[in-house]
Amino acid sequence: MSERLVDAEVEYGEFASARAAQLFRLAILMCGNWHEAEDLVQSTLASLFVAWNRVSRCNSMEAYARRVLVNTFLSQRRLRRSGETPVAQFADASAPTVDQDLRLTLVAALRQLPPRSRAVVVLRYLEDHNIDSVAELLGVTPAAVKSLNARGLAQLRELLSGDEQHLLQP
Amino acid sequence: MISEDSLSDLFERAVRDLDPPVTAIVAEAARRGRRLRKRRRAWKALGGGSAAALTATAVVAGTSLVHTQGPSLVSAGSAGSSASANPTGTPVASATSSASSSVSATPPSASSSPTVSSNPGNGAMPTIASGYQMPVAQMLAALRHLLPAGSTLGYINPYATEPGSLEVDYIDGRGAADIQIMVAPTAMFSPLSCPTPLWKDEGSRPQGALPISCAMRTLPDGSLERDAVYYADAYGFYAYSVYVNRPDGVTVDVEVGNGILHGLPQVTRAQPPGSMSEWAALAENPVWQLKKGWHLGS
Repeated sequence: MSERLVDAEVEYGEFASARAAQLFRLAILMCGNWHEAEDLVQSTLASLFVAWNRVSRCNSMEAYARRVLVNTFLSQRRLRRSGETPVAQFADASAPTVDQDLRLTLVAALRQLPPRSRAVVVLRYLEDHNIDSVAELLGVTPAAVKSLNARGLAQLRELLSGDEQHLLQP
Repeated sequence: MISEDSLSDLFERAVRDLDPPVTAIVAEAARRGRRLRKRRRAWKALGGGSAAALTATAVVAGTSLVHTQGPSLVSAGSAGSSASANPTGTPVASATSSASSSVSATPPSASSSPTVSSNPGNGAMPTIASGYQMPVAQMLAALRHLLPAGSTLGYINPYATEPGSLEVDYIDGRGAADIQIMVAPTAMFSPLSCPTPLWKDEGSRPQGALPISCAMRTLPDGSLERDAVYYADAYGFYAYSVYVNRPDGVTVDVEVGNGILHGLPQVTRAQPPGSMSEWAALAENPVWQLKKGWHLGS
């Protein structure tokens, strides 16, 4: 392997190690289970690995990585909806924690949102992206994001309404 | 009603204590990335600069099928079935003459004849189409068709499954096992060979694991096959690997592991399910096709 390639792989490794956990948190709320989230993050990072020489010159690698993750998630959802890749469901494989109930409740509610609404809501409320930023990430208009967000938010509120008091306890 | 601020707080609390295995995820992503890069480079070379090579492959493919496996898919199927029924294969020395004779049966002019790829006369054998990939549903149906009775398929890795490529868990009640199948033009792959020296384990091989091995052979229909037992990775995961380069220009790559790859490798058994000869037979079966309109039972 050439020295240049080794340097690029080291640089990639540093970036991936620094961002994988955050990408995973985004992924698990979108996918709803641990294993699929691992697969999604790996797939995202593998794509970055392939394109590293080209994309490492981007102004915001972090935004690029997020965009790849969201697009991979959405494209997979389209494929699955076509009936081509039925996927068995897996339970949350993480160790039990005080926030696990909250996570399971939230994930169960999020899974009932259409994938695009789910992506918008997670980007907005987990990562505090504004409407324009989400629109850029998804490659849609701000108006479309507003609409998806409004519908997703309303649906999520309704789904969580029974658990509201329990969830909002610190 | 939950406010937007409260919702942000809920989302943050829901994921803040998650502790994903970052090192392992990054290492696995790099491994996948290398594989992906290799595939993309091969495709690029195939589609960008070597259109003539693909055409030649397709033409040779049609020619070989016509001359070695008869004029219809039924004949092609029976040729493959005979290979499957004889899974130990034929030693290279004795099979070479068979392969050579099938190649020599091809008229030299046929390899440059565009009419061969359209296979006039029987109308039942479409040839490799540039860019065509075996649909996932068709690959799943083929795999289910070939698996032993009583076994089932489980989780399908959505991020490693696309037309021409399938990754799925095999369930036989003795520990789920990862199966990966790729069906693609041979021109996409590096020439088959066994490395010298053979691979070395990266981690501990499970007790009772099969030893690393690699063997090449030529089948009676002219296919070149490599059967290998791979090295164990850092998790003790290893796999049977069968590559079949067929005379019709299609390569079938089958890997069957001793565990699953749900994100990260998880060893579930000392040995992958079945035997090398059974998986070789599965890889040799002509259900794996790059022909539009080809279906099980054709």
